[in-house]
Amino acid sequence: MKKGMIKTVAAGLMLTSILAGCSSGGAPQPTATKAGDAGAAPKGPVKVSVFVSGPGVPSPDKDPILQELNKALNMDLEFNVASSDYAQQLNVKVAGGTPPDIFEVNKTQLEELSKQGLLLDLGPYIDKMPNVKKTYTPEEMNKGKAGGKQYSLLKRGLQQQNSLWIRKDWLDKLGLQPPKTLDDFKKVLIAFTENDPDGNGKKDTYGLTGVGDFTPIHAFTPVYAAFGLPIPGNYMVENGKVVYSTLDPRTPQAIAYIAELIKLGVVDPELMANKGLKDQQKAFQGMAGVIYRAWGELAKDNYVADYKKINPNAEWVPVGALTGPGGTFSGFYDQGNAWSRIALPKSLEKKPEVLNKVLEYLNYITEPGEGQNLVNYGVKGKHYEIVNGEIKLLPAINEIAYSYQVQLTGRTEGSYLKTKFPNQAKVIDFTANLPVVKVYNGLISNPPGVVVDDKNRFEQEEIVKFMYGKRPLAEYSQFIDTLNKTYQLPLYLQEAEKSLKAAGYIQ
Amino acid sequence: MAKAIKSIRRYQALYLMLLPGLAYYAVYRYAPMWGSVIAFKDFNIVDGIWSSPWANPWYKHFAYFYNSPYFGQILANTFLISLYKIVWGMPPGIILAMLIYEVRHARFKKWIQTVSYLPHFLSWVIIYGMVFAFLSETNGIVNRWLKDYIFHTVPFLTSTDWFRTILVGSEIWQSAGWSAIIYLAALAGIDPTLYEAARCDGAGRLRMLWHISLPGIRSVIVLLLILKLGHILDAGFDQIYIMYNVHVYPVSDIIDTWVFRVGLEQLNFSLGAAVGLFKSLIGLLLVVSANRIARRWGEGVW
Repeated sequence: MKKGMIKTVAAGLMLTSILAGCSSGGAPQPTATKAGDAGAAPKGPVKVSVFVSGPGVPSPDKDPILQELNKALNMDLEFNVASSDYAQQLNVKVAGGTPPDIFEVNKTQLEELSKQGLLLDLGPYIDKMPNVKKTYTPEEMNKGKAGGKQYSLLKRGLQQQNSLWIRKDWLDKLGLQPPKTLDDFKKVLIAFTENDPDGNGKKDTYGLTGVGDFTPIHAFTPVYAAFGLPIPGNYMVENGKVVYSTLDPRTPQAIAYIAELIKLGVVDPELMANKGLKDQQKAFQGMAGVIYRAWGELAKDNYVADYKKINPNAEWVPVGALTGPGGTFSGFYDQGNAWSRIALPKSLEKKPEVLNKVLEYLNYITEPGEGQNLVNYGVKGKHYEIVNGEIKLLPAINEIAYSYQVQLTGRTEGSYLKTKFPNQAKVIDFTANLPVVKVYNGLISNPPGVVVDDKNRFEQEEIVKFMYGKRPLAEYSQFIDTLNKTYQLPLYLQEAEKSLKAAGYIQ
Repeated sequence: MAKAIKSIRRYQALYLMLLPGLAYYAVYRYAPMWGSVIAFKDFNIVDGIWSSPWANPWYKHFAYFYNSPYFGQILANTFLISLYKIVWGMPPGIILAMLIYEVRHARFKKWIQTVSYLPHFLSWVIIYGMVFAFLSETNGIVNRWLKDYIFHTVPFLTSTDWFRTILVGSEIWQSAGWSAIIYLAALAGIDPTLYEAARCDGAGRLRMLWHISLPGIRSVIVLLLILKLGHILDAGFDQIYIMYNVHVYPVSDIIDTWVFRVGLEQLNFSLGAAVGLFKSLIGLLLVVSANRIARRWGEGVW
């Protein structure tokens, strides 16, 4: 009954709009647009809205990628980027019942929103996106899943980018070789601190600087790696079982080694307080000769120019993995690592023509779709050209420096980076191929009813105390007891086992 | 009653002008308070405020906060940092205002006033950059100097002994000039004949400061103190979040930073609301009792 009425009303409106169109000579009437919404087959471009976080894209009239997309797909794309408070803005839009047609979610949002039944299960629609089906590996598909269902698609990309970097000119000056083992590493740090590598007659240099946050670029990552470990607080799989790195008996050994380095005074004393790129600036200013960072922070042309300006002789080179008691590893890499994920709202089911357009759009911009080059390198002939089957960037590429934000389904990282940064191609391959310890944090959910941050804080605070000799390492087992009893670590491990079993990494 | 109606009618234009202000408070200050109800619910974005299920037991989110192993520590930190900021932070503003008031050269006075309140407009990110430039252990000016002359550096930013001092110190630097403005306004309102009379009786400048200026702004000082007590559980989230690091968590983690980390990680809006309610209740209690005490000295706000 109700449906029938809507149809009648729609037909009536359409009729009036036609009549109105006749009588007023084509001036757009408000009724006409209403009829268009209610009608089943709109003829004009389909409106699609996207909402992601990022520094921002140009306005539509200055956005060549957007214009090309609209032309190629007959759609009217509204591409919104939030430069701050993305999560709050998304919450408001979703809670207000007007979710964007495509939006970005992080792991927590993916889990929370899918639990609340707000996301569309993409499983049944993958067949409509042949490029996605072809290009996405099963692991990449898995990273978009929540509770076993395809509630989001991974934004493809990311590869190992971090390595140990060292001042080559300091090594040369002191007659040292790049470190290959953990012992070499210590010798280099001591020499950089004690032997005046900058030759100014003052003891004003340190061996190592970096950031102290417990992230993959933690300054001591290479030390833990040489012990065969990630930094504390990570989940590994060994012999088919979940192993929590903090509990591994090698961890206190690695900490003892780090404590010795700190006691020797060869480490930037403010390691834990370095924020942002502070450590990189210190390194560039010649205060330290070793740093663990991504190639982007040391090898990009502008940064090279930065440190050459301070000291024309300075030369930062990447160093391979260090060998230690745990093997040869340079760092650790999260198998669940995801750049970002995109999701569609559940309500899109009720708007089939928009949904179809969204699927067509996502398929188009995914490799090997024609749109992939467009979102990666801009307009052919204007921003890039193809010479002998290879992509060559034209100077106008600077116009589309924002393009990584419109790559909703991501890109194939290695070839993309090497095309965009031809000067750094060697370093990019070097770091991507370094041996790393595998961890699985990104695939593991937090157990319900715990305060994750309290556990993390306690864990990190105590480990820092051990590192800085403020708590004797002999108390490490007491530390683990507290972690188990007060902070409910066993719950986390159970949850980790459950998640990794579901993802097929353990049996 | 009849008298009241009569007076309302008599000043109806004034009451009419009051209306927009009342409406503002009703719409933007009182109505949103109903949202606090999510402190007692398991808030879910889809269901909205009213349809979200009630928390079971009702104090679930409060218990979450209370049972945190860090509850005692963050509460103590919040109170202490706030208290230090009030105790050490109010006198500089008052002293500065009285010093500026005593300056006789008008242009110099204006200049000092402008320069002293400018830091108020700097964001904490910038102030942290400046603090770092001065106090950093590796390349801060102060530590370089200490190293050259006493061969010993002080880890100002990573030591639990120093961190609160840095917090309070940078806060004073930022806000002393700004808070002096209100005291200056109060000083300007003191009857100049009092000073003349005092001068006739042979009082010096210090005597006049002590017996005229200070008592003259006493009510403003008490008013500001009461207002600050209301915010005693806001120890300065922006500042601390930007300045702290893992070494100094034990002395600097406050309620707001805790809620920010915990709430952000688990999208727990109900927890945030519960803690906000808890903070407001304590603040209200303090304001009411402080006002009671102040009234005994004849200085209350109401």
